[in-house]
Amino acid sequence: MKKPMTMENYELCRLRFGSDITAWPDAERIAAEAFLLSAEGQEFEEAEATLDSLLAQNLSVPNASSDFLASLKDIPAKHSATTGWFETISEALLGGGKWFSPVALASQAAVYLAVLGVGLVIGLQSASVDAESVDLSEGLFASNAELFLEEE
Amino acid sequence: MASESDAISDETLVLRVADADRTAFGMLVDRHALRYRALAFRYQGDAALAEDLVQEAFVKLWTHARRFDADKARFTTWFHRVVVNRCLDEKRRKKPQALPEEYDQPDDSPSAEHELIEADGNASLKRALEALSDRQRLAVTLSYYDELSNMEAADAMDMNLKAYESLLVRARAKLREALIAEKQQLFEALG
Repeated sequence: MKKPMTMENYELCRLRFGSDITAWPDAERIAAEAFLLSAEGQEFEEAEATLDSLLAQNLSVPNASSDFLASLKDIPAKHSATTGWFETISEALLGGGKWFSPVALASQAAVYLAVLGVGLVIGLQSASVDAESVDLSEGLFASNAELFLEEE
Repeated sequence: MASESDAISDETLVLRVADADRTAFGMLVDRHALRYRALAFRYQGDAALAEDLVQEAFVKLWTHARRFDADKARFTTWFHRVVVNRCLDEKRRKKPQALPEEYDQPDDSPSAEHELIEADGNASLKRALEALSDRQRLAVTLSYYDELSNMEAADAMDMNLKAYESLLVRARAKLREALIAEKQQLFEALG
């Protein structure tokens, strides 16, 4: 046996499907019809209908100032559209301002790999050096040859 | 007879604005500025402030038109979000201003007589709307005065549909309570 419709469910259905229950999906419509037979349902529907009619009234809005539209159309003259190279690049790298968007992550990964690649190329171009040929003590101690020279 | 300009979609105009097309920008102003001014006014209650907020939103349109993606949303949905965010930011930014010395703040609480004279639903509804939280009032404004669908309004407020519907249900419940309370006060005033 299906649970009877509660006031909360009825209100939610009304919000989703509109105030005309004949337009509701069948299951919800049947439950709503049963709910509206109750005193609670009738009282609630009356309150909802009153609120709907109030909300349907147009809350008056004062007229716009005489230069409102003109000042808006003047915006392009006062503000530069951001089409500079920095904006274009930063938007491309950051995916329009979102650091973790797929585009942003892909861009950042590409930059990382490019920097890594440049570093590798520079490193590979220098002369190869093995550990044994590197004398870390060079310059720390006076060589024997220098001592002999000084004695002479 | 519809003019040629009417045939151009908002989304096409925004793409042109992204290329710094001032004519396209002007067309969007003509089409939508007053509507968003009304939205901001119904939410903020201050016409000058509403115009300032709409001005800022259109500046954002001019300077950030490239951020609009026609595949993801319609222009009106996107721009609604821009305006809504400005309205919410303004509310958060507002701080109470200290009154100058010897300032005699007028008593603007309605008398019973005033209640009788202004017993029309419009005034009652305005008062009830003021009792809502910022987000509840915004949801009511979007759904009932801007006539957005629940989905569009949820999108404008950056919420999922269920959360928005719950927000609107709570807003309606609060409005009903406020209107019932006001009716009772009126009956009491009448004796």
